[in-house]
Amino acid sequence: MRPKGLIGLLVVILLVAGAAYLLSDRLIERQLESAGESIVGAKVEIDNLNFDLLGLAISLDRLQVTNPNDTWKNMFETGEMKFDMETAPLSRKKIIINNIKVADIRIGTQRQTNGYLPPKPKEPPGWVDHAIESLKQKVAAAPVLNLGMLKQKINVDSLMAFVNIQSLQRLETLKLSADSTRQRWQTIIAEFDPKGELKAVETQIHDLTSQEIKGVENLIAALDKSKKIYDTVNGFKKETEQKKALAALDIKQVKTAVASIDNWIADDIDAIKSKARLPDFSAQNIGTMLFGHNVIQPIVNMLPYIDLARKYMPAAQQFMSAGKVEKPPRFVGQNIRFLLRHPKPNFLIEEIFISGVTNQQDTSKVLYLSGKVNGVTSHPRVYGKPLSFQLAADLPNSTAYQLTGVVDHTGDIPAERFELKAAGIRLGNISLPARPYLPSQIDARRGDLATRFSLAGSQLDFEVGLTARPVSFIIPDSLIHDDLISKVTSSLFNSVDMLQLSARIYGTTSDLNLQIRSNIDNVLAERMKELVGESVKLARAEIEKRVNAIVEPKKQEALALVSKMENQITGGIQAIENDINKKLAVADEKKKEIEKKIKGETTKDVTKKLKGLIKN
Amino acid sequence: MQFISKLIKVLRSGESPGLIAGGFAMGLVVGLTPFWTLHNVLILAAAILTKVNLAAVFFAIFFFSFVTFLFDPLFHNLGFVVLAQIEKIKPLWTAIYNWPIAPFTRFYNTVVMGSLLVALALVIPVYFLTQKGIVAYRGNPAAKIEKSKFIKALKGNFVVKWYIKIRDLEF
Repeated sequence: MRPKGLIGLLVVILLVAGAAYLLSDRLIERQLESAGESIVGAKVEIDNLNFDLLGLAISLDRLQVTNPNDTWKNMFETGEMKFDMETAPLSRKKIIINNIKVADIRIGTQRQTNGYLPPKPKEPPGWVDHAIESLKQKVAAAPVLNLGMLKQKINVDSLMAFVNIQSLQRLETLKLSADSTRQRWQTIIAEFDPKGELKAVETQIHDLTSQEIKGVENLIAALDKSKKIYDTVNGFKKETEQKKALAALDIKQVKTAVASIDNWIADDIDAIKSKARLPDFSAQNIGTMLFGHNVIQPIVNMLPYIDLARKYMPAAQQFMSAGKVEKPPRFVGQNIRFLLRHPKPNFLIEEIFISGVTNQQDTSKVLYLSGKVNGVTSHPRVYGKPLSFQLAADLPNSTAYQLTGVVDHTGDIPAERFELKAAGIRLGNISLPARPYLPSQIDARRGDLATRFSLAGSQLDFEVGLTARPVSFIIPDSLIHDDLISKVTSSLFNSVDMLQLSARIYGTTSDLNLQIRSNIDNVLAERMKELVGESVKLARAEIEKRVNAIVEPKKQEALALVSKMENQITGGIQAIENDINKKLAVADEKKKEIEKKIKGETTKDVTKKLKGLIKN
Repeated sequence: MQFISKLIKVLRSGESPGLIAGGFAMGLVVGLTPFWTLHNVLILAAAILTKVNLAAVFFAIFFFSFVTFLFDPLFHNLGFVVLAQIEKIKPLWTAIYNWPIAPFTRFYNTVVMGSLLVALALVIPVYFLTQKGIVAYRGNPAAKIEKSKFIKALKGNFVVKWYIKIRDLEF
């Protein structure tokens, strides 16, 4: 034994332990803060984290998570927290926490410093961006309910001046196509027309005058010739039939375009109507126009967090090493994985108990928070259970909010399901897009809310139902005008004291459908139709009339050209066919005539020979 | 340079050849295998606590680290065969993998396994060869080596002269 070595070793061990003791708290604190900040996108601060190396326990005085949408406020902050970690998994760098009690949680507290963090470099658009874009497009596609426009006379002349009528160009193309088809077939017919050949056939038939042919042998030779003539003419007939079929196909193609003419004109009329932004007062459109922005907002807010959950808690992971790495970096090698009897995820919090109070200053507005979150893990498939949570926010005498959810990433396809129910909650002011004559805010005292959200892979289904009562619709003075429309809308919104809204967003995330209904839709739609329906109707009729007046002459020209093309092609082929048929009939007749004569001559010859035999 | 100087001193000194060879063998294992593994920590602790020659340990670590660099791909291939391709011993590896201390050993790494196997195969022959070599060196060739052209050239080197001057300074 070397005593100096023993002392040296002890010194080294003590130094390492001392450094770990002094630095570990700050190191762990910073790592946790950094992980939180990468998720939230704003500052996450931990006060006085203490890591007890011997007891493997972590405690902290406060956790503040900044609201990324208002960086001078916290999304939430907690009071003192303490939790233990499992010892054995630490050797594999796995952090397993059985339970954490988060007491004294407070929501929306003011921050002492700004919790803003510079945004991260923008990543290429992912499925969340596509989904949000799809939703925003659906809301934007609803016609803007600009009632002020309806006071003005719709100027169809100016509209027509700015619109390029597509059907005119299409009709011109159709005319060109019909004319070129006609010309092409004229050439084909002229090149094919077997007039000369048929004339020669006629002469050959004429030469075969059966009365003048004597003897069976001569007659048989004449029959062969007549058969050849027949076959020649029949060949022309078959060729004509082929050409006729090809011509019919070409004509059909042109006529298919003719059948679309009315659709082209209808498309033009629709395009001009959309430019005119003639409002369509269907109940569906009004719901989307009024509440579209508000309804899609929860999805817009929620999807980035689901994306993060899918990133940090990924489904379908490959854990076993697959194949040999041929050239690993020097001194690094390749780690071969073996089956663990009790596999653990790299990070797991089995249970988080939450309790807190929202507003201790004003007891009339206080909400008591309670609930638990289970299975927060980096490897859901290894853990084998989905993340689940049940949270409740209670008023002094009743339950106000109930939020439950499951984030199931244990299978190949990630799935998330959330439900929020709220009864008798204070809604406050709901902002609407500001438009003349329409309310920009709804002041809702109390309401009941029920939402259900599910996302399985890329299939999204979100339903929300809201009943608010009493409500008052606030139209700012700047948006009120001294006219009939203003009076009607004001009286309409003043007469409504309840808001019933139901909405559904569903479909694949890249192409979402939006359905919004409210009790205001039908009432407003009917009143607006009564008020401005007539002028809109007249404008629509005027647009149709103008477009038809421009397009109709061109349409007739095109139809005439198509008709001319058809007549010339079919007529030309028909004339050839008739001529061929005539010659074919003559050739057939001649053939039969010779056959008959041969039969007669043969009978006569046989009778003569029989008579000779009898005499002998 | 200091290792070599010390080593030469050690070789010339009366220290037991067994302790020098033991240190050299320990250094061989540490030098051949990736450093941050449980067995290396234990070997180094043993080297510090026992009376093996530390200069020999560090010289061997230094020397065999270069050897490792050359043979790293071979260690990877050998480790992969032993860990992944011999089905019969897979249950053994699985059992060890489930030990709580397994991550510290890093036995599941192809380079660690390959180099450790080679080191274990070499450690005993190297121990005995080194021991015999020291005895032989102390017998006759020590003076010859001292007078060899290589050593003379080394001693004539500017850097070596400068080093010896600083080393021999007396305060």
